[in-house]
Amino acid sequence: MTEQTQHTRKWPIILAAVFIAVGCAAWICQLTMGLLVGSGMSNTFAWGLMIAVFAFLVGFGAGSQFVASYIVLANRKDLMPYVKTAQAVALAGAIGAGVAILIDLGHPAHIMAMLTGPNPTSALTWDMIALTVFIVIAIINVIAIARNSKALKFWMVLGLISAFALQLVEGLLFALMEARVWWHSFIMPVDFIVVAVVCGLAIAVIVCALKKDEFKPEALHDLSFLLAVAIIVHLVLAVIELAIVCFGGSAADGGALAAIGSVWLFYVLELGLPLAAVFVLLLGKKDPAKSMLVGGVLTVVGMFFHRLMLLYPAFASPTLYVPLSNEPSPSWALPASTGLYNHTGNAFEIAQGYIPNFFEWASMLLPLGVALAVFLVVVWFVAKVGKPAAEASGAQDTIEVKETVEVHESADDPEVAEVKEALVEQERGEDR
Amino acid sequence: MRYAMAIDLDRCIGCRTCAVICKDHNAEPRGIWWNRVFSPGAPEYGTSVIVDGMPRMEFVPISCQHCENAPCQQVCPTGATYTDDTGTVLVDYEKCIGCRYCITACPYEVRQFNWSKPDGVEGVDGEYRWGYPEDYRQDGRLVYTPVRPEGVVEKCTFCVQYTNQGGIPACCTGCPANARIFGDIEDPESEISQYMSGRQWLVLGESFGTKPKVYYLPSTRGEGE
Repeated sequence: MTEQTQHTRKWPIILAAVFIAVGCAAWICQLTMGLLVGSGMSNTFAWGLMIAVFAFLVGFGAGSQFVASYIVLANRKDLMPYVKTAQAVALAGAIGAGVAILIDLGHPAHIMAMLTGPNPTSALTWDMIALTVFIVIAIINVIAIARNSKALKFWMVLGLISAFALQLVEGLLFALMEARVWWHSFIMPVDFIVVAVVCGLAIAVIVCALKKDEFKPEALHDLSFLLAVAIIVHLVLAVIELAIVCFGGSAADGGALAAIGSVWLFYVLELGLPLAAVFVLLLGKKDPAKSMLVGGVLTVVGMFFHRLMLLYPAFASPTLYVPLSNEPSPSWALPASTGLYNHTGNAFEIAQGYIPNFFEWASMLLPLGVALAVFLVVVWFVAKVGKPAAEASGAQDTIEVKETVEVHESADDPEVAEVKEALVEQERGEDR
Repeated sequence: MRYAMAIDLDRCIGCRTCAVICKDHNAEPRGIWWNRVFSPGAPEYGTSVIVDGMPRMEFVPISCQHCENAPCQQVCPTGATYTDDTGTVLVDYEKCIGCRYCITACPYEVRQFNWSKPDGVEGVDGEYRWGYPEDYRQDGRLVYTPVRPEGVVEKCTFCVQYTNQGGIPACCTGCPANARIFGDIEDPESEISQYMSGRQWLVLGESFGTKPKVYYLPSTRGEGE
């Protein structure tokens, strides 16, 4: 191993360690000083940056599971070298999202109440179960990939189902909130699934563009095309979502629109960046790998703004409007207690803006750092467990694997054998 | 038994005594108000609005609506929010994890979060404390404590520490215009049932399907104009 390679492998570890250290310090500050000082939230804007980060990470987790399962189940041998990375991102994203939720809790010391007395009617309980199941299946998939398990396809099917269920529950977590017109539509769970696909493909496009030599140009083109299609579907859903609010006609719909107007730049970036990515991905023929890289990054940034925009139209607008007696209209919003009197001097406000403060931005590094650390551990684990068989006994083991594949191939399932063959070839490539 | 509250908007004079006495009796920390009163349409509290060329002013007091179909209870992942035998929606401070999902779900925006450690107010002899002085538990659940834990959600309890002992909520006791009437809505002989009998009433946010147990008797202002 060259010195330069060693150096290249060290910096992600250092980055993860720094992120975790800074994030932990910020979280401890939030716990000791309280969220009054440690956040920009209020009673009217009760969910902040950490919920956006949660949705952002869980989207990449589920989305990467979609991609990994697709590659294995569709037997895309040309994309097989990406399976390990996709599975690592799936697990890392889900664990990072779990950390984000823990950080967001006001009283994490009571967390055992979630285990001792979960409320079955709460979408947050479903979410906890869906996320846990997803993580367990993702871990099994990592082991299955590392060991070239014969049951890989089976676990990939379960991974696909668990990713779908996770995103469905995430969407319902928001969509069931009748009080928030921005969330309360059938679009929300559907779009959560589509956005996960977008996120999973965006990471795939970026990684494959960076390792373009390992993939055939057709495979890269396919990924770009799939991402562009997924983005277009998401944008159509986003437009329908906006139309529902535009034509809703209620005072609450008007409030949500006004809230969008107050952060119009975020909304433009949410839609504009992925749209730009579509053009770059489809039209960037001159240097496809570069186009993929640019398109992928634009999409990832756009998805972050998309997750932020889950919050603003929902919280920066009132939920209840009351008319005067015997007057059918107009209705007026009710000022609510902000809970920020000690901080801002404002006891009541109709709506409250939200700017994440320093501690929120810093504590955001904890779930990101944990996700990065999990990713690195998974990559290391797969290399460690997957390689010894080939390294310890050299070519003989590789042949044995090949023979096993051949036996299996002749037995009943030729598709599984092809997948394994591709994995063996990938191992050889890595050994070289 | 189903506890409910009627608020007669013709009697409410907008003095906010209900908000203050509620805060006092329930030891609400600084910045937290379980009860609030507002004037629909007015740019500032207590100013009139012009309706059909005439000045109009009315007040709407709002606190927890103790919904029959409470969205806050439905979404609470730990069951910290629950409805007791009297139909009162309560929060067990020892089970609340502070996820604020209930705040998100409540269309009335009456739920309050303890964003920091509650500040004591300094009195002449050092620290000054107010409100019902002891913890109050219902079936072992901590539903009232004078010193709130940080990072949990709280809201109106219909003054559970009094109503469970046969009393009535402080806002009803303190209202100088007797605009609030409390009692068992299932008992036809109760004060609230008698008061509402034959009168029109409405609930806030009916479209949400929450079935509140706080009933508003609309003002007669504007009738027949």
